[in-house]
Amino acid sequence: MARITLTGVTRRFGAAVAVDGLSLDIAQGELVSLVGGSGCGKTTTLRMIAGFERPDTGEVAFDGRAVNDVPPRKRGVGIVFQSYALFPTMTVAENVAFGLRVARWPEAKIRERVGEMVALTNLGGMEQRYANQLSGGQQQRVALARALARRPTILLLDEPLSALDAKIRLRLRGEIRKIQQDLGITTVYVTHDQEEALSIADRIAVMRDGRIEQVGRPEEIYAAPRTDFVADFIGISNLLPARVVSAAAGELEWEGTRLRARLDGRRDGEVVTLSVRPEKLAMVPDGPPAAGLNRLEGIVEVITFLGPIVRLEVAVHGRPVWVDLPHAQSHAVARKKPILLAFAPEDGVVIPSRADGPRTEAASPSRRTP
Amino acid sequence: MTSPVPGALASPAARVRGEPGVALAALAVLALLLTFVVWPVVKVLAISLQGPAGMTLAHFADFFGSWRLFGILLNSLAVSAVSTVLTVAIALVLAYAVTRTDIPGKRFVSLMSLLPLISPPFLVSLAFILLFGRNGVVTRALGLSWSIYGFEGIVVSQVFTFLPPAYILLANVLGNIDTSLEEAAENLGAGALTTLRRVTLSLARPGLASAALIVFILCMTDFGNPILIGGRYNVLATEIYAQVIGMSNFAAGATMSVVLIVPCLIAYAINTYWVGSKSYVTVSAGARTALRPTAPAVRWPLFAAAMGVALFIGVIYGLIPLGSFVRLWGSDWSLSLVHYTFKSTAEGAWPIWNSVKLALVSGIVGTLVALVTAYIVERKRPPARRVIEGLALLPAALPGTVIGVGYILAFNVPPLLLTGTLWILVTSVVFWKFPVAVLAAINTLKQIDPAIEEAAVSLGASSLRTFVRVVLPLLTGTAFSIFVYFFINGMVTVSAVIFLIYPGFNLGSVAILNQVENGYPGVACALGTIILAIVIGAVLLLRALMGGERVAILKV
Ligand SMILES: Nc1ncnc2c1ncn2[C@@H]1O[C@H](COP(=O)(O)OP(=O)(O)OP(=O)(O)O)[C@@H](O)[C@H]1O
Ligand SMILES: [Mg+2]
Repeated sequence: MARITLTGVTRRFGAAVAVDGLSLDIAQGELVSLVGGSGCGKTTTLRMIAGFERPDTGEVAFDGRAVNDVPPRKRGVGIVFQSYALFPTMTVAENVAFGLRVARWPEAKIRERVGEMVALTNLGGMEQRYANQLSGGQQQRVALARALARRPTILLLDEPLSALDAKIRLRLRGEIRKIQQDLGITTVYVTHDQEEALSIADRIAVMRDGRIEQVGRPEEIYAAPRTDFVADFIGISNLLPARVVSAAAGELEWEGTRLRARLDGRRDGEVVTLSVRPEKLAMVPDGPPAAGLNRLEGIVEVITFLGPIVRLEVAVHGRPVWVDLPHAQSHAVARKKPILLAFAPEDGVVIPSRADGPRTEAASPSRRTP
Repeated sequence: MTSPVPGALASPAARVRGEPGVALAALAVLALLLTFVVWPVVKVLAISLQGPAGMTLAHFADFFGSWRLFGILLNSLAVSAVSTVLTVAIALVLAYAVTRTDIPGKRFVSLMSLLPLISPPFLVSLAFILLFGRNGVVTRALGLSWSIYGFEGIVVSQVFTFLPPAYILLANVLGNIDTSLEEAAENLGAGALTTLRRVTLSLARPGLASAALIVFILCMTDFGNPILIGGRYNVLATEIYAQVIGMSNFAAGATMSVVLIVPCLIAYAINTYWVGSKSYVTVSAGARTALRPTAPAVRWPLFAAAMGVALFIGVIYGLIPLGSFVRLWGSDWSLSLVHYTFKSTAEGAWPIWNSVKLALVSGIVGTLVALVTAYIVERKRPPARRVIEGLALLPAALPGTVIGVGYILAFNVPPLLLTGTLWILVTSVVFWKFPVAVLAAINTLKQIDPAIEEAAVSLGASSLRTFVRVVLPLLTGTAFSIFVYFFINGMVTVSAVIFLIYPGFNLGSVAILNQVENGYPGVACALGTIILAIVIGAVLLLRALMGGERVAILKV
């Protein structure tokens, strides 16, 4: 198993920069997930690790050895394509055996290894079928078995589950994770589904415009997004553009409302983004404010039932704020009725504003839900 | 197609019963196909079996009993086999170079490969005669006593004549292969050759089979090239002409027609019913088609090969206008317009204008019949749908010479006395060239969501009104493409119409043959140049009127 090191890797297509000075270190046996919007360079990054694209500048190294000049077929990397790319002219068994045949394994060992892979990926009984006789989930497993048959030291997966429906996706990602951990294989998992990334990865690298915006463990990324893009992309978040009133006292102002948050290192008068997750907002009864909590008053605009929770879109000072309530509280809310919300100062994450500001393509409450 | 067909639940009969107009149209189409496709073939078969005392196999016994006649069948098979293998091999290299590598000049290669589609089928032979004939440039320059007439001439001419359909088919097949498949093979350790063999070519195998079978039929049925450049090497298509027109021996002509149809029908059936079920759909969700840089060791040889073929096609077609402006090819190279005065023939340039007339009428009639047929087959699905579709596509397997013989036999008696009129020429062009046109219309219809029609019907529109107001406008681009297809064929076709022209109504394509035979290659070139100019001009004009890409050139 191998360690992957990307150092200042850049790849251009004509004038467009697909990957822009990207550096990333992936430990042996680790599963790192690359997430980001469409066209942010995830696939290109993966293809540079596989050897299908050559970096214009920068270095790709396995175990400290530069592999920029090593052709794909000599890299010992297994890859699962988004389209699976199963050979339609071959059966499941022939697909899985392809890499072994090419490597001139003896026929007996090939049969043994194919048997192992079929067992590992739960494909027993399917060996003689062709790709078009398999369900999407089964095709996905064949692709995985084929990629792993040659005992690669690195596994690359490009949106392996995106063509499947929700239920199978949940089950297969559990299976992939288990196989990956059993084999201890260094893995890069590309997805645009942040929830998938949160659930499967040891670490997540959030990409935007060919760069890495933030890398970290899933809980870090979720709880402490360093940029408003990450806050918005991972999970869903209310991003409130606020102005620091007093950094020392921990006071900000948003739309004329005074709020409290941790403001270490911020300057008075600085413009920041306050990120508050919908589940951190609670409905509170009328009456005197509880000590130390931030309070927001608004009107309920939209109520969306999401199984165990209810997501509200509340207009606060005319701006939408999303609130997740436990299902039990749903009877207490009604459309067009006023509502009083509160959140603890430590539940607001303060993000310094960037020149380019928050992404406008923010999610609506009903999108990007589990 | 995932969306349901209108009224998919009702039985075919019930659907049509509710609409007398549709039933009538379906019957009319069926009647036309029976008359103009089935009846002539039946007539040919009947004559081949008819003796002085009723049914007999004597004509077939004569054919297979005579070494000379049987040898002609072997000639046809041999020349077609060799031409097919060479054509498909060259087409494969071209298609691979254009679709799977990043060689420069792809547009030029594609453009050149389209040229033979819009020209009389035997201009290639004419060009080869100008190069390698008795007075050919090359033959003269090298002082050769050898000339190209015969087997070699037919083969090289057929290769360059039938390269386009094979190339287009294979480029389609190769171009649709998901590049991830090749990358997957590479990722699993396969080298370039293993990937090519086990993945790319393996996927292209049904396409290769299809291309080979189609080209084989085209070569077997080819008339223009063998008659121009075949010399003493006889093939069935030309021998049928000699028997019928030269010796008025209809029985022998019909017998040979049947002998010629059999291998063509076999090839057609294999392609339609066996290869057709084998093709792989390789484009899937998330498939990539972007190409990576090709290794120089592969790129430049392929570039050279592709450019070589494309340039050679360019030269072939450049020779025709050149030949028309040279006073006497092979001896007097001074430029002149003398061939454009058509002094060598009493008809002057009239055959060309007859061709234009035939092309226009065929275009209009053919487009209408093809659209209605496709609409009925694809959308209305009457009880006899399979029969209508099968008959509409059948002419793809019928040699033009057989159509010609069959039409003479079938339409020389009342009530269908068509011989000696424009209509026998029009119907022969329309129904012989029907399959490609109907398929194009069916494919377009398949891409139009039936819900659009259902919406019109649900708003109370009748079938006719829906067809005219809703479906036809969506078919405009295809309709003009079909018109162009029939127009081109009306201008350039020769093998069927050569039997059907009548005194005072010669056609341009046939006139070219006459001029070559009479020893006026310059005049032949002039006629060829005018035909090419008219065809290209018509395509460009329609494109300009209709807006670019909507008017496509349909392929075999
Ligand atoms: N072969 C290519 N030629 C030209 N541009 C390319 C090529 N491959 C990728 N790009 C461009 O590079 C950028 C990054 O592409 P990439 O496929 O890496 O994005 P991605 O993050 O995988 O997106 P998605 O989620 O849509 O798959 C895009 O703008 C894309 O258009
Ligand atoms: Mg991608």
